[in-house]
Amino acid sequence: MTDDRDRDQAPPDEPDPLLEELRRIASIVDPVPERTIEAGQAAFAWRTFDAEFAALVHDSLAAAPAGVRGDEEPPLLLTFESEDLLVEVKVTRTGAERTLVGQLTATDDGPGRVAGVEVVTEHANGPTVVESDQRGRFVAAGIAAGPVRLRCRPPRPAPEVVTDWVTL
Amino acid sequence: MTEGTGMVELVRRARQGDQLAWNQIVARYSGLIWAVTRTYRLTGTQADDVAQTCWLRLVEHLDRIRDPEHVGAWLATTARRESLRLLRAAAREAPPPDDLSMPMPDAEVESPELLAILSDQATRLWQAFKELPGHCYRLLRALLASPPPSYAEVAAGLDMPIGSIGPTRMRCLGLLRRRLEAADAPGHPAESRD
Repeated sequence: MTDDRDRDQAPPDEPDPLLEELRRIASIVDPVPERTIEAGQAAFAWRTFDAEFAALVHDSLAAAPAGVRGDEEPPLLLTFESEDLLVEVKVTRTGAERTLVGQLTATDDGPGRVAGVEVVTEHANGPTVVESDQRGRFVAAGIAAGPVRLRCRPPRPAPEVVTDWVTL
Repeated sequence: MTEGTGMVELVRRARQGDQLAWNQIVARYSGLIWAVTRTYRLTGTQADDVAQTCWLRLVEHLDRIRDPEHVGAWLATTARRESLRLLRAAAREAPPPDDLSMPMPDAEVESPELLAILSDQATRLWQAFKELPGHCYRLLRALLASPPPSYAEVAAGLDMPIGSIGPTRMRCLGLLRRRLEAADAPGHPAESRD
């Protein structure tokens, strides 16, 4: 968000009758669907407490230029990082389904354990629960296209780690 | 500003778990997110996914947002980034979408029944609007969000300098007016109506 409050709050231009007529038409022919608003309201129930947050720190789609295609499809790679845990995920797409191949790594200064972690993928047809192997690897298949996040639950007392949401 | 102060209060209440305050935030900014997805020519399903990701992210970021009065710009930025991610992902599977500077054919998002209830004049206006050059269509479509967005929110949604929005808006509305007038002028082919 910008810190330039003066410009942010500069008064907008005078209302224009043509623009207002277009706004009226847009609200008739292209309104926000009711389902979209209801889903936005329902999002509030997904708020998590007492979990460590893993921010999206790398996204190969954010780095790629739009609309450019190579001969080989580059893999979609996401990296989430919390205080204790690094979550790297490779995403493959088949129609409306996604498969996540992941790797958990304890960060240098964190006590996170990576083996036997319950990895819960939250998605439209979820949740999908899998467990990481001895080397911190996991595979979650049958993930629905749309908003997705991971909850990583290591054996106690290590804290649960919840990643940011991302559209897959 | 009253708007910003009101939003600060709504975010504060939402942080405390107030669903009704959250619903008001959703009501205030769903139109902005929708308009941003429209400027990137997303399909309805893609637009829904982007909107949902925006709201889910905001839920988790409620406690971390430093400037609650800028939550609209934060949402517009998130909607822009997620829209571009989806376009890039789709480009890997299908032919890339036409250049974003081209006008948007959005027949798939407008139902014919809804278009049918418009007056002839409104229909001509909407058609002329959709035939504007891409940069005009995108800016005006973002400005058409309901309730009307701030320029800061539009700048965030389109990734364009806030200072260029006013002048571009003026030029694009001028172009639209000239085209409508030309279409109404006697002897112009566009005057003949089916």
